[in-house]
Amino acid sequence: MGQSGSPWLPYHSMMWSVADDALVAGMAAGDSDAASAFVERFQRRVFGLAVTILSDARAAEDVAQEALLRAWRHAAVYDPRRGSVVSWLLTITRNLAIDSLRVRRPVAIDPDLLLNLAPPAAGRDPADVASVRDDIGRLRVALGGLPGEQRRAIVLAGVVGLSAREVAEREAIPLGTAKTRIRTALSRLRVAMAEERAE
Amino acid sequence: MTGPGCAATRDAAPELALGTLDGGDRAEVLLHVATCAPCQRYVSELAGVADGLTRLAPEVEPPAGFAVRVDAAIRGSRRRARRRWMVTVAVTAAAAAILAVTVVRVIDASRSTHTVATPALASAVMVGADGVRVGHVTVSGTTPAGVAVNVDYAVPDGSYALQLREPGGVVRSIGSITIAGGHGQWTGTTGLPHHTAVTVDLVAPNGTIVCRAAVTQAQAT
Repeated sequence: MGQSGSPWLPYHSMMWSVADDALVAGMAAGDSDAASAFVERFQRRVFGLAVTILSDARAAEDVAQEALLRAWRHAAVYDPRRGSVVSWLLTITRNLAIDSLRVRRPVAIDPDLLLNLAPPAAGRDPADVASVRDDIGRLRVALGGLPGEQRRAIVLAGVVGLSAREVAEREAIPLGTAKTRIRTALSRLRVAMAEERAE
Repeated sequence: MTGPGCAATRDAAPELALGTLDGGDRAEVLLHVATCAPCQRYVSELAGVADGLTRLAPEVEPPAGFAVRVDAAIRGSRRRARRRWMVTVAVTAAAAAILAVTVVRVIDASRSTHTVATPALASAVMVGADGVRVGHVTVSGTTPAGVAVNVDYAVPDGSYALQLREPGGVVRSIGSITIAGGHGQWTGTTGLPHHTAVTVDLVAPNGTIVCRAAVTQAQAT
């Protein structure tokens, strides 16, 4: 495959256009080209999440590398019925980043960066809102529609992986209030997403 | 149904979905979720939203050379895994030969040396919903490979099917396991060569996968 003059694309070139699931299947079979394509495709997402959580490029690079290595090692057990490849990979990344974060207390989180994940609805460009087409875009809009304190609580819990107690400490609020904000926010997002799908 | 009721489960469901529920509370909620279809659906929907939150993080270009370094690490990891596999094969072959003749060598009357033949084993943690560890699965280094399933935590009492998932995606039943008092054991064979990576699922009567263990050579002990 991939011989000069062949009408077929070289094998390693074909890898760049295959579906995410197929890349994981290739990795499970020990295909190094599939692994290279997987790293190239997801490195920005993985590093982006790691650096968002850790606010430290060096630590984020270590976490991102380990996340991609784990994906390679455990590709054989990836089950598409349990979620998309990117969700699976970002869950690995998030868990590793949280482990790293817990070793490096106190938490150095940039609140402005977190809030930029979902600016309030009033501050959004209507054209951006109108152009939202996918689930993640809709989730971003729904998150932006939450009251600020709920948005902070759910981002701290859902993205940074803080427990309700840690959210309470960080926000200087009672534990019960932190739990209520997290629960209310996630429930409202669920309802918003369900309504979007029903429309 | 077992554990807390639906109201308490739904109260705790957001933290369960976000992965921030404490261990004890999580185990209790999982007991209920495993046997209540409406609560399963609710937790699943919340988990879908929680998964989506991680995708809101912006894509960021990693430092120069990052992909090359990860590629090199993967290729190095692959070579090490291959060496481990070859060592396992060699140990298994030697163990099988030793077992075949049941060697016990006595060097002299006062000091004896026994050649102990232990087939290579591979084991993996059995993981339930939300990553809780519920037991483990061990696969022997014989052909066909023997399997021992041990469950000792957080799985409701009852009878469950054991399903084997082969690398090619073939899924077949290998038996059933009864959990009583939170514990259960099962032994049998995979019907496959010893070096085959397999996934073992414990499946509830309603078809829900309650927990899973993926046994690979990389996890060999």
